[in-house]
Amino acid sequence: MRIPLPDLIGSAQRQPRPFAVPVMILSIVVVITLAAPLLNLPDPRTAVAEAHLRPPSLEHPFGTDALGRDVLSRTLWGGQQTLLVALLGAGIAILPGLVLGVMAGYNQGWTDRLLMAGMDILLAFPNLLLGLATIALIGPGRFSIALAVGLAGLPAYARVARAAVLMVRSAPYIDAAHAIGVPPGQILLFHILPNIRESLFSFAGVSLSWAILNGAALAFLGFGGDPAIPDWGAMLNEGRAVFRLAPWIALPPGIAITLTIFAANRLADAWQDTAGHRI
Amino acid sequence: MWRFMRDRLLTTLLTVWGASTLAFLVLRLLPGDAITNQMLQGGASPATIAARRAAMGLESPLPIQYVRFLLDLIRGDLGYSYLTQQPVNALIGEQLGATISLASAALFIAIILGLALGMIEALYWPRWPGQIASALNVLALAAPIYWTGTLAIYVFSTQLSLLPATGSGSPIHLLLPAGVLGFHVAGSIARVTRTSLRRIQEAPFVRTAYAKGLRSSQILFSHVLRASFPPILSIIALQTGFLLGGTVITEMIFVRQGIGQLLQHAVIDQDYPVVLGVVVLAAITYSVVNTLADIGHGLLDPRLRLAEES
Repeated sequence: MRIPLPDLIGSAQRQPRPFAVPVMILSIVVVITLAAPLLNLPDPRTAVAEAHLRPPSLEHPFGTDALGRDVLSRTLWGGQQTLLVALLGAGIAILPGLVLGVMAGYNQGWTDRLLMAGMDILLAFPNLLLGLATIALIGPGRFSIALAVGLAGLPAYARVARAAVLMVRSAPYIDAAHAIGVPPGQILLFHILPNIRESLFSFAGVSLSWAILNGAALAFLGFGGDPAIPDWGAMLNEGRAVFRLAPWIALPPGIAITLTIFAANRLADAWQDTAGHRI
Repeated sequence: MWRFMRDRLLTTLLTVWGASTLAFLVLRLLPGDAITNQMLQGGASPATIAARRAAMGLESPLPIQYVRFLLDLIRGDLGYSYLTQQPVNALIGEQLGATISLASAALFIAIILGLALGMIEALYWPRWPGQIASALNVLALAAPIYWTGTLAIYVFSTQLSLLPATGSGSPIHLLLPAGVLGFHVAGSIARVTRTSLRRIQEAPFVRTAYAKGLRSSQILFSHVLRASFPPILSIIALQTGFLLGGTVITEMIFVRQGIGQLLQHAVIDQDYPVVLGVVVLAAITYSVVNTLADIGHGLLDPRLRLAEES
């Protein structure tokens, strides 16, 4: 059998991927989870023994879990927790990562070597293991998860920021700015950063999707602290235990995580395509 | 080439040393550990606890503990568990086999699947095979493994009774967990394969090859694939290093023995020597695999090693 091969000559003109879809998904997820207090849902933390493992019904559109808690309510409230932890974690990765990466890329020489050697050392630990080690040290809890996720994402962000700075650092317009005596701080802020913003935004999207994935993984492993407070990762673990009896528990948080990460990834792709367009 | 390899090896050694030192310092500087917890719960007096800590060398000054740790590490000795007093080497050794078979089976699946998905997506994009490959790729990257794993157990084991969901031992037990882990690792490989292939397709030499009258399959295999391989090699190495992290969750979902389970329990019990041992092992694996990939990279692409040597 011969598999028909298409024309192998590619073309550089490719449609940039749109922003609309990921932005829409992310806004819907954020609005719905934030609206949880307004929706008059059952309390996500109160266990109702007689209502345990009810399948979806009018009263409980997503059913109830093993403790009789409303799954819809827990999914929405849990989204707040998961997204908050992820945003915090991504912030802990991005801001120091950006500063360190830009410093290394702009100064080069010894600062660069030392900083990047440090980042390489952190990069040598697989993401989740770095997260687990952090939890082992500071104990479980939501803030610990955010910190663990942030530390795990930091070195990658620093590397990307550094690479982006290096790309434009030797451009003629930077030399020109130096030549006319623009101070280094201004060159960084007004000449370098605006020209690498697409790469920075794009990798921020990637960092966010890592933060959601790793944060929920740590919550799934049971390091989120108080089990009464809902969280998508923790809900997936609760749903896993009774999946055979009650598959409705693990489906909503699973779909929610997948959609959110998909949207964050697509946002990253869209930023990257705009960067490709400009150059 | 020799200089390139020597520099790479030296960097690796430094990274491994740095990583072990960091892990050691952080895990030793913290108050509270399994010994104290365990003995306090058992009602031991502070003197007994101090005696036990001293016997394990934990009361010596930190620099001395550090030198001992390094010397032991060089000899391949990772110390003793706080809880069971067993050597960490033995604890890891017991679990390593299961994890290695899971990781290598998953990697095998990931490479085949990732290359296939990436190639199909790059070559057939607007048509249906490309669309399907792209959808699978998106799912592999976005869906968390702790969710798809549960779904896979439900579909293949509970509903279809095709494969055993849990346990380890025979190759059949390996199929489901390795398949799920491999599917997710394949996502990144497919993404890089697609991007790299597309970039190479734009290169003028592909047009030239057509002009010379080569067949499409010849162009694909001996020109396009060959040229797009270095980044793919890098991502495979990167993912191999990360596999150990992926196995932690896979082992938990599928209730398999392995390093992941060992680590998860050690974290809960604050059994620091075991945590330290696993983390150092992971860092060494990661660094070695990536160094090998870098060297492979240099062999494939002479521009790279020449640029670094100059």
